[in-house]
Amino acid sequence: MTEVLLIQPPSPTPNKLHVKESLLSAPPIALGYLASIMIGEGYSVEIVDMEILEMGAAGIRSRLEEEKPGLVGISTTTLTYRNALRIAAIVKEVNPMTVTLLGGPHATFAADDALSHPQVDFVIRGEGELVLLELARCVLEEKGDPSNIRGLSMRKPDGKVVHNPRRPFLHDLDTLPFPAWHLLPLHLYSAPGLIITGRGCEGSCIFCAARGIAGGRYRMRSVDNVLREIETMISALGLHFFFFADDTFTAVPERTRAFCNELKQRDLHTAWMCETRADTVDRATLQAMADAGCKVVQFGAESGSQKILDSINKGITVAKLREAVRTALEAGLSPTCSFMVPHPEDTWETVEETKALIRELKSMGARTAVSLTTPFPGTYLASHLSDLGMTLISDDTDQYNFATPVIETSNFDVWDIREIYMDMVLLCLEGSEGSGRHDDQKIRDDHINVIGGDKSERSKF
Amino acid sequence: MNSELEIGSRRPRRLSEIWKLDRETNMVVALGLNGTVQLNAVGSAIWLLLDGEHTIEYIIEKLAGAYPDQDQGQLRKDLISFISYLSASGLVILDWRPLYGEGSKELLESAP
Repeated sequence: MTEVLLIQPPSPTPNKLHVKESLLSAPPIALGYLASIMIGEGYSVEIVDMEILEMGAAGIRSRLEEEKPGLVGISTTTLTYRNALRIAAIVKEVNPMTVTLLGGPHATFAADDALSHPQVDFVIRGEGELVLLELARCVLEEKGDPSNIRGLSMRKPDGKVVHNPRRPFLHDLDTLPFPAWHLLPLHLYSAPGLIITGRGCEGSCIFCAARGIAGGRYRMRSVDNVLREIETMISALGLHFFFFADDTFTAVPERTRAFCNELKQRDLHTAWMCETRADTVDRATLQAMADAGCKVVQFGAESGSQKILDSINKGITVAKLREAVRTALEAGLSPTCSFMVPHPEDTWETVEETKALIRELKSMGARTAVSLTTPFPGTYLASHLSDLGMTLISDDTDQYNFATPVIETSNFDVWDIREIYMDMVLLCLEGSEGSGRHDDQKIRDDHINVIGGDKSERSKF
Repeated sequence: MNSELEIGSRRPRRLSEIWKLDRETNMVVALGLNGTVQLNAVGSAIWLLLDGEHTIEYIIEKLAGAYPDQDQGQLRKDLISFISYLSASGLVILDWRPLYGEGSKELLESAP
């Protein structure tokens, strides 16, 4: 019997199927940390990643019947939130006495909504390791009172939702055990070597919730602690490619260089990739990264218009991005630049500036990608939509997949946004491997034998 | 496929959200697994309804309302043929159920 079952819900959107082959799939590291700390305290824990197992309602139901957990923790992003609620309902159907808990980025900012659903008993806001541990003691051992657990929200017997005081962020990340990778089918992931070397982001971009989730200060693990984790993953799991999933891996360039120098010195034959900001890299850092096995560095570019970058509080310049990409290429790295569209103040002119920058970066040798701006809870964007001239056109979070328009701006309606997005996606794909598949096809008219096909007929719908 | 009734209750959904509507021609261009696909005007109108919320039966009713003079049996046959074609082209999932997730084994097993 399992005491604690941790569940990663599947994405509800079929969109991902379309690009599944080209997406990196990484194991749920947050659940790995939660499991690890619980195991260290003697609890029996299992993790079910429904996404990677391609598991549906029937699958999780039989797993629950088999494991009979006392406490079920379900991770949430905005996209998986409704599935988390659906899973929590199944948990209660299987056994109404099982305690359910939601955590993760979405639940952190939507605790009231989550607890308005009767199948949810508790919500963890923010970092979950110590909160889960204390809650497990209350639930499974009847030691302590959930009302005293900081970072926890709950519904009282009278139906009133109570938010306990916020819990301070963990100060010393070296005290955390390494994630419990043995609980996950790592062979199924395309990028199983996931590592977080620090938490928090000092940026304050209006579209990002990282600061709210993990704090505005970058809390770093020691270089030695990270290297020990890498060595463990090599020896225990046979992994040699790593993805450092910090929001800004190079936030402190001196530390990045120290890490790279030590990694190189240990001669571990690793390759890796990371995400960062263009304003936190310089030639020495990028060269040290390349020398230490870094292959890919991803920069958040967001827009090709300086006016737009300033309006979203990105804190970088287009010139700095160009310089970072050029320097990364010269160091032997493969830079990828990710863009978003539409930003609140985007116009057709600024969109053209972004397209021009995409073309320029591609001609330099960078890869590019684009996603749709989405108002995720916890972001300035979401809490100031109308101030920013934006209108929410869908609050169905099953659609919050970065590819479905859920907002309109003062300058663009949903059809404009679809057009801009598709044109940019095709621009990013142009000339890339496999882009030959984008030759035009036409659906033959004989697929609709009875009905004609002229423009006027569409208006009948 | 299973019975007509079962087909009618399915809720098809676009697999790709990377598509646009040409507002001059009212025609949809979508990015599919094998490239961009341009739908004709009626196909485009149907495409807009493939959001996972509407059942095939609902879409048939909308079509029947728009084309009352057409043979309803033929219209139903054409619509099912069209959606099946989109499905075979990797553009549409025949029956969207969010908790099954995309590419779910259970979903695939339940698909026709």
